[in-house]
Amino acid sequence: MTTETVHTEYRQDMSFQPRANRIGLWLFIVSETFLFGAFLAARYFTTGTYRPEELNQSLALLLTTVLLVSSVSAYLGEASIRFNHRRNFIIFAGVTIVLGLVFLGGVVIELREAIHLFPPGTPYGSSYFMLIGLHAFHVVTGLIALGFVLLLGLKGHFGSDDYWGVEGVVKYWHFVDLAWVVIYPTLYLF
Amino acid sequence: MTMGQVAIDRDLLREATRRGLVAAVLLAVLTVIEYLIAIGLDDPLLALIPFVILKGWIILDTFMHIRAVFGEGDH
Repeated sequence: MTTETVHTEYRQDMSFQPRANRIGLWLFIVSETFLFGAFLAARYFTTGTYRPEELNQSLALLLTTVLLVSSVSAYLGEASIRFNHRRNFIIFAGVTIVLGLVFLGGVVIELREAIHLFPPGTPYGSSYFMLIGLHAFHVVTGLIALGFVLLLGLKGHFGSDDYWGVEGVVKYWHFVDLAWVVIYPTLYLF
Repeated sequence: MTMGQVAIDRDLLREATRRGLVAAVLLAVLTVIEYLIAIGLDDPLLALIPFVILKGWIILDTFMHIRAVFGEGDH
């Protein structure tokens, strides 16, 4: 087999790339699930289902709503670019970023209250700050990625034939939402 | 792009939007019920687990297209 033949076959194999990308992303998501799982397990191991009375339930419910709505807008943005509706994609990506920033702002308020009520040195406080901190870090990285995608979209990148960049980032954002669906009851409701 | 393709894309986008909005309403309703149960019960752990699983599945299936990984459904 000549070098040229190998290169030609490799180029042909590239047609499978989107599927390979998706599987790679799912494997990454699975590995992230284990990371969050370890932190969640630590919370139940150290404090069981203990829940302090001072938790700001209204703020947590509001933040949950904001994050769920951001997931819907991310989904609509992905669907828009997939079906060649660039203007809607730009709008929904922008809305998702704004909602993500609102969520982060709420988390900062939450943490400022929590640091006095249950400091990181206490058993519940350590679980609380580790889980909220880990999740907030993922929100920040998701926002940076969404910002890149929005910027590229504004420059005319992506379309119905090439939207893997959007799909990958949006899937990651949904994962951040999925993690919160478990973290929220773990810290505030159980 | 032909006019026919534009019309097909518009219909597909409308269908995807409808699916997304149905999922959003379901998530909102489940979140409110989850909250009310948690506030009302002393030990709501077992009562809330189905809600967490259901909400997780809606996100995985509708938003993340998990079935496509196994060659089924959209994407």
